[in-house]
Amino acid sequence: MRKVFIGIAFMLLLTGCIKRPWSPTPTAEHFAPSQNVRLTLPEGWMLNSREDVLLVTRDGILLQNVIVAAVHVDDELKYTKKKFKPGMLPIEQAGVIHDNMASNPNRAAFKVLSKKPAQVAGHQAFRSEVTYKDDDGLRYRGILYGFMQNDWFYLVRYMAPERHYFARDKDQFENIVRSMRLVV
Amino acid sequence: MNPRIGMLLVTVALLAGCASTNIQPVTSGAYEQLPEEKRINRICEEEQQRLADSEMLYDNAKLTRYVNTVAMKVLPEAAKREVDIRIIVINNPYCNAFAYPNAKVYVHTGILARMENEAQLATLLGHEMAHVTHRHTLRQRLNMRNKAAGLASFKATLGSVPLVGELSSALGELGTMASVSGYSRELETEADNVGFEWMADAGYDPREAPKLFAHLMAEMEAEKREEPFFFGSHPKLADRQANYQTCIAARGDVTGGVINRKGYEKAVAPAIYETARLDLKAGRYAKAVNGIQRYLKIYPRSGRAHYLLGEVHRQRNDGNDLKKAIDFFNRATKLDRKHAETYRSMGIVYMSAKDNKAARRAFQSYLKLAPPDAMDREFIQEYIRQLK
Repeated sequence: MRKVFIGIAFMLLLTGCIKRPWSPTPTAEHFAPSQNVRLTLPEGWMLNSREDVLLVTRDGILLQNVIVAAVHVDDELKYTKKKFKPGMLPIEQAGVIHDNMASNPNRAAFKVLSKKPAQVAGHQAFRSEVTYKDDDGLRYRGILYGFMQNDWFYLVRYMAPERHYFARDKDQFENIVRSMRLVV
Repeated sequence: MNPRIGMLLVTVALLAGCASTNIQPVTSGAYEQLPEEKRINRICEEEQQRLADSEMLYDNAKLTRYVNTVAMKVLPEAAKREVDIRIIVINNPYCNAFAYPNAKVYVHTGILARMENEAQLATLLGHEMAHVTHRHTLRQRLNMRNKAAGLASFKATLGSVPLVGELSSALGELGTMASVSGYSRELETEADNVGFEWMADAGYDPREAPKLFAHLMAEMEAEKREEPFFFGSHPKLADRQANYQTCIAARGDVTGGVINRKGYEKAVAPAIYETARLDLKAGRYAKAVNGIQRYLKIYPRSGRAHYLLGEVHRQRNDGNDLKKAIDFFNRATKLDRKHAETYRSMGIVYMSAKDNKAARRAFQSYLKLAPPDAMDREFIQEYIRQLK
């Protein structure tokens, strides 16, 4: 029986069915080595730190989610064939990330609502607000901050259903952005 | 009866799809809507409402009127009496078209942008309208041996195929069948044959029918078969081209029909421009350049087309792209002095090239021309401050 159990566990590991677990957000500053950032996360939220993205939510990712991602200039984006290039101005970086979102087949009616210069972790950045509808016609609204350091583009994004949730957790997101700093 | 023989008979009946063989076209004289058809039509209406709400329909009355006029030229009078066909244009850069059984035919701007003339459009519309008049959705559904499995597979296809772009989030079960999965080989061939006869009877040059596939096949190969159902599935493209050639041979003398390249290009020019703009967003630079160059053949003095061509070079930024971008932006400003975005993009290129003076001048022009609530205004003001 024990052998069977170990065999099943091994198979699950091989097939990737066992995923990294969610954990409560730490009270101290959090270090995400894959994203090269340190940041303070809101208390009582849940955190999933993965290789490709740091994901934070309070009530579940469909109700609100914050992601932090570091994209190398050689990385391909999921929905557009455009790429980031070293030295791009924030206004250009915003164009690339917005076009990637606009080309996502699972989202309809994507719109950029605003686009402004900003500062994140001491870098010139952009701040934009966007909206789209998901498969079920539910309208989401989001805030994006993005900036580049050398060959890396950093994205911090908040997304939530426009009704009720977006406004409720927006300030928490802005606090995360303000706390963010790059390690290297 | 031996139970084995009974099972065998049931299996044979299912395989033969005998339920659908009695479904006649709407023009047969004995057309009467079946209860199943009424149910299908109700689903269609729900899905179409969802499409309308998705903000993906292309709002251009002139273009919509044009494609509907061509459709009416192609559709025989007998069919017009039975079905109220409406052609609706969807703003989507992928090459596709599909028909709902309740006579609503959806055509992507992407396919309008790639076709060459009205005769090819007539072929496309003839094919799609034949699916409606020959009640292919109903026939396909009655032929489905396992409806539940069939429906599940439609949704699975919907989730995994990004071929229809944004549209995939708005399509329902029937829309997915029509636009992504397609019909059986037999029904597609029937739609090809019927559509061909209609376009030829309407006076269009039948030799244009297979060309619809020829140049789109070349594009599909360049895009590594990214195009969805209409040009990508049952039966295979080469077979369908061959089938059209057989139709042409059977028709005998096919010379002297209408092609109408000029009228077509003028009518679909907005779709050509829009598709190029969406191709640029998706980073499909070569496609975007093809589209803009085609648009420029129709409107050689278009400032915004030169601007878009400059944008392709600016955003791709390979080799001497930035120099080319400036050339196109300069031409654009000569043709249209009031197009604010051209100056913004020029300023970005100059700023990247550390030509601060030129960048500042371009940005100032942008601020003068752009509306007070322009989204990039704060960015450009900030860049001017930095350049000082």
